[in-house]
Amino acid sequence: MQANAATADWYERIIECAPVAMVLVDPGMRIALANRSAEQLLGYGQGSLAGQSLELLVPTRSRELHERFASDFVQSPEPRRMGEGRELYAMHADGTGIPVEIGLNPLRSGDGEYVLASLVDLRERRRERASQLRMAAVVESAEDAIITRSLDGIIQSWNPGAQRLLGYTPDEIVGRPVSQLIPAARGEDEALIIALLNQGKRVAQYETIRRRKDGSLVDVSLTVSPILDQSGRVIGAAKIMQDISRRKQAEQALLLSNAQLVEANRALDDFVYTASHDLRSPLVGVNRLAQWVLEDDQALAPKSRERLQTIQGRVARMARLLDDIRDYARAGQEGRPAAAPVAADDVLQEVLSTLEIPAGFSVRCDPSLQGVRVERVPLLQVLHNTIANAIKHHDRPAGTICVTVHEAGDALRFRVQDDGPGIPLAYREAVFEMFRTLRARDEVEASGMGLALVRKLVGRQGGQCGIEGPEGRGTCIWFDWPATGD
Amino acid sequence: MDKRSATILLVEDDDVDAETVERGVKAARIEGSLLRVRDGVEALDLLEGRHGRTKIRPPFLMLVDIRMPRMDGLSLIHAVRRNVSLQRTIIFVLTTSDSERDRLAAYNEHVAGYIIKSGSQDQYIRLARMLEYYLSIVELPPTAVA
Repeated sequence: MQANAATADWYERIIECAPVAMVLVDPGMRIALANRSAEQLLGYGQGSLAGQSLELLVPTRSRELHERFASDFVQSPEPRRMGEGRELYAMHADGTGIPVEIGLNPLRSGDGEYVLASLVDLRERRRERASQLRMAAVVESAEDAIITRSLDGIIQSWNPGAQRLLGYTPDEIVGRPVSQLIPAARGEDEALIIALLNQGKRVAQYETIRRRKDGSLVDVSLTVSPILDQSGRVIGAAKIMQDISRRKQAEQALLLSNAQLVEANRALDDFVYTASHDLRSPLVGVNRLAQWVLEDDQALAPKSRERLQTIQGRVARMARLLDDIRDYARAGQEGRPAAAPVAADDVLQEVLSTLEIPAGFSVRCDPSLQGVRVERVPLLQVLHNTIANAIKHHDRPAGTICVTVHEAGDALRFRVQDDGPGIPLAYREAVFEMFRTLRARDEVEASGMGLALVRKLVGRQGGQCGIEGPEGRGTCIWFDWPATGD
Repeated sequence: MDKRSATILLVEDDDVDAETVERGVKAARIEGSLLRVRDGVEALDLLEGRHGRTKIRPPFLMLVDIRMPRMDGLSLIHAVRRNVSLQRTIIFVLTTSDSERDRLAAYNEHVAGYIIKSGSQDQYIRLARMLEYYLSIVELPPTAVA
């Protein structure tokens, strides 16, 4: 720098481009000079402030105060901050007050005492402060526990929510290790959290257990976010903890009532099973007594003989009904462990060997059944009931029943198609209900349990069943069965 | 000793079931007598000669129902097995119960067989024939003990 460059103009230019807003006030309280930063801060065009009264920059309501500050400064002119500890405002060209910090420096000159005032804009700082206060208010008033901790596990902050949840006051717990909050059984939590934090990852809604000050345990949902320093290094973590003990209790209660329902259902099945069994023995007695009268009394009137036989017929009907009810109840009981899957066509052959198929009827095993593997026992019963049904309700001396299977999504769809009288659309749901038959029992011996049992067994496998096809001759009963892998 | 003259002690509370067994025994023409009592208490009275009952004379075997008033079949069998003079008695269970638990309990007490009443008359005739055959080829335990 050359000495001759240090002219008044040179210094004026330095002041002009300084990043701090500066205003030079002359002894007559007029603005001698305002730099670009000052003009920009206060909303004036270049050079438009110089020569104006300082009052232009003092908000109306603080003029009196400003005069007092000014006279104080004149009394003892030394560098200081104006109005220490007070909120000062400079008036913007648009009339609004801008919060500023003002530094005053006396500059003695030939024509009296000048003052160089530097103005620091406090708006950004205020905004930051307000934002911090808002954040603090959120943390303070949050229902959830909010805790910050260092990487080495030392608790650094503790909000009232944390105090409510875990019982410690901030004085008692800040500076203590987080391990104090972790029950022994959850010791692995800390390592897991640290590992995730070190990868910069969040832990979201992690359900665990924490220990309160009084030693009691509480179910919590934990969300942990890393706290980074300016260079992006993890230096700690913010934890939000929610009390989920009520939800946990509700879940437990639900599980319990579910288990009770299952138990009640099982007890009902047990009852039905036992009742149907016990109702059978007096029935057997009735049948036998009728039989002995028929055997022993050869002089019986033909009408009485006929009536005794009717008694036996009714007894047989009721015995079948009881057997069907018992089978239905038994289908609700947990079966034996599932056996290895078997071939579907073998199951059908086994069914056919136990059925009394009248002459004139044929049951066709479609090639689609070959190679399909299924669980044997329940399918055996379902096929037995549907085929027996088709034969029993057939209205002609000859008929054909065809069993097919096709893949339907994840399941296998079996179809048992007959060429009997068909079931009207209106009854296609009703026939799956218990004790439902479509013809008089003296006409067709049926308990009305056959298809109800089919629906129950299929339902237990997670499948559905129904009747398809247009109204008219022939019934096609379908049911979905889970495919079994080998 | 003639094996066929063994007595069959039927412990059965149901009159129709009892008569069914009697008719079956008659149809199979088994020699020897059939004695019938209605429950476990009555059976023990007869087996031990208590309460004015004449003690049953060996040889005999028992046909025992499970569900009966006062003392059920399984309790009766348990009592018989713990009586040193009766413990070797041949016992068949004849019941309507097809429960696995009952079957297990019965065989744990070493019954000779567990028979489920099917309800058919025919089954009783076959039962009687089975007993006849059994008595004709099986040596009963010696009676001169206790």
